[in-house]
Amino acid sequence: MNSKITFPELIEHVAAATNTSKRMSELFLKELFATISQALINGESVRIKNLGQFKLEDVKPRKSVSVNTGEHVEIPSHKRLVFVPAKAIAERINKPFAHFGTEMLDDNVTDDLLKAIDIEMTSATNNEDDTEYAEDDAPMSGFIAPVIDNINNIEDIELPEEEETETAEVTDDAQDVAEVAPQVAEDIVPPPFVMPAVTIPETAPTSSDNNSPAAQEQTPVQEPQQTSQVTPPVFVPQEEPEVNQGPPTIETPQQPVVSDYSEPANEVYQEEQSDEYSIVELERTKREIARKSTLRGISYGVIGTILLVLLGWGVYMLGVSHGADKAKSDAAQSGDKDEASNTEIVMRQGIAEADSTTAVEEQTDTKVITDTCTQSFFLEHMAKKHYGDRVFWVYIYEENKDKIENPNSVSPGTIVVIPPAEKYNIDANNPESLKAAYTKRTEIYTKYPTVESKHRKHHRHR
Amino acid sequence: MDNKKLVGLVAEKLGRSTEDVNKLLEAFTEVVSTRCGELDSIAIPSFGTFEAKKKNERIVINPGNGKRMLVPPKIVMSFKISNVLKAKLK
Repeated sequence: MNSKITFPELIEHVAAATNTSKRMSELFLKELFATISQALINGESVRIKNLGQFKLEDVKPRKSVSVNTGEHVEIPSHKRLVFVPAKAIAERINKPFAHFGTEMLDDNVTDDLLKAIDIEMTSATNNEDDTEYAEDDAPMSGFIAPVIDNINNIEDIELPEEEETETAEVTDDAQDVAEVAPQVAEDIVPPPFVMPAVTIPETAPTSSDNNSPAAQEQTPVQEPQQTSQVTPPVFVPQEEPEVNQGPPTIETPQQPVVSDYSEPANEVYQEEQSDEYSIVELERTKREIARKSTLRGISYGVIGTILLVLLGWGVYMLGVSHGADKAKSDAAQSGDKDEASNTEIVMRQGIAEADSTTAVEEQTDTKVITDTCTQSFFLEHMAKKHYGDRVFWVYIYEENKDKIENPNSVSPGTIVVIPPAEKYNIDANNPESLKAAYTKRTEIYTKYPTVESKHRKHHRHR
Repeated sequence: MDNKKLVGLVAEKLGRSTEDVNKLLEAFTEVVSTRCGELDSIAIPSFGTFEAKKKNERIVINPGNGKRMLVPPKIVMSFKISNVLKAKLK
């Protein structure tokens, strides 16, 4: 993702795909682009089946100002190259968003509301990612935002875990989003859902418990806020059963059908006339959001206190044990990264250190540190975290050869043992140690080549 | 120049059959498709770069009736020409 494929890599791919020699593939590609270029220079447009068309457009001369001297110059007429992708490839590339369509916005949807939803969702995803990766505007946030924009379907997302909307569980919201992220990447993403502006914060206090008494409490709060387009709904006490039975055209949100959630959203949206249903859905989704945000607050508080306690314990242990250096760096690093996995690490370190104080410090066998791979947190990140340099993933791989088949694709959820630094003489500051790691890395990559590893040959080592 | 002609020219220059060249061209197109589908970019020296860009969703306003619409996010393919070729085209 977002990597650059170089020409040599391209040659290899084409050679592999057609079972021809690399030399042949290279000759072909060079000749191909030479021919295309020549045709373009001659003024001819070139069309490649299933790829697209390279067209030349005339650009009229225009007046401009010279950057250096400031005097007026005229940019002469020239030709501009335009590439128009073929329908097949354009559709294929847009596949993740294929189900989206342009949606009308009601007057009630304010920009602030849409922004608020985006911010909430991107901050949720930020917790998941390792800080190593720059959180730029590209895929991640975009992928998540539309999904959760469809507030209706937050239920769909949560349900596979909960199976019941009524039980208030303190689930780690970072995990919720992790569930969503892989699904989003693969499955069809639903169109953005639009919510009439009945403000969320107001419903938060009233919806903290999800029983029908709360729902009844809500009606007096809700009704005055309804906009004129909404007929006084029949919703309250029957709200829950009504939704469950629902109109036949809307799939009941109870079904944890992740890949189909484009349907309900479309249906709901088009059922604009039957305000009852859309209101009902909205009410549920608002309460879900409110509940979700309170849950989130609670869970963060809980995690925060646990973290503090463990850190305190870790520091105390530091004072007792002599093997201070490694523990210190680990504890320090655990402070600024992903919370969920860090509590694990710190806990284990704390336990490990408690053990080691009773035994002799030299026995590194008693210190068993493990880590779990997630979608965005794998060997290189672990190496960076535990050893201070990414390249030392090679030793983590060595240690866990039986668990990891291919170091380039470690499945999420794999628990790997982090060997103590002394075992392989890992020292981020020692150039010898670094060198050894580099050689090891090239060894491994010759066995398990990746696009990136070939890439590395063209880049300077860090 | 359409596809057939291009393939013919390349086949002639290489001294291979048009079927072979067709296969190679198909493979190339396939690589571009899959890679751009994963948002990678493919750089061809002295020619240009094929890349895929993600466009976020945005709100547009129909000036006629003032209605607001939400345009969905999408991924589009684009081609960035190399300076070498640009100079040649001038």
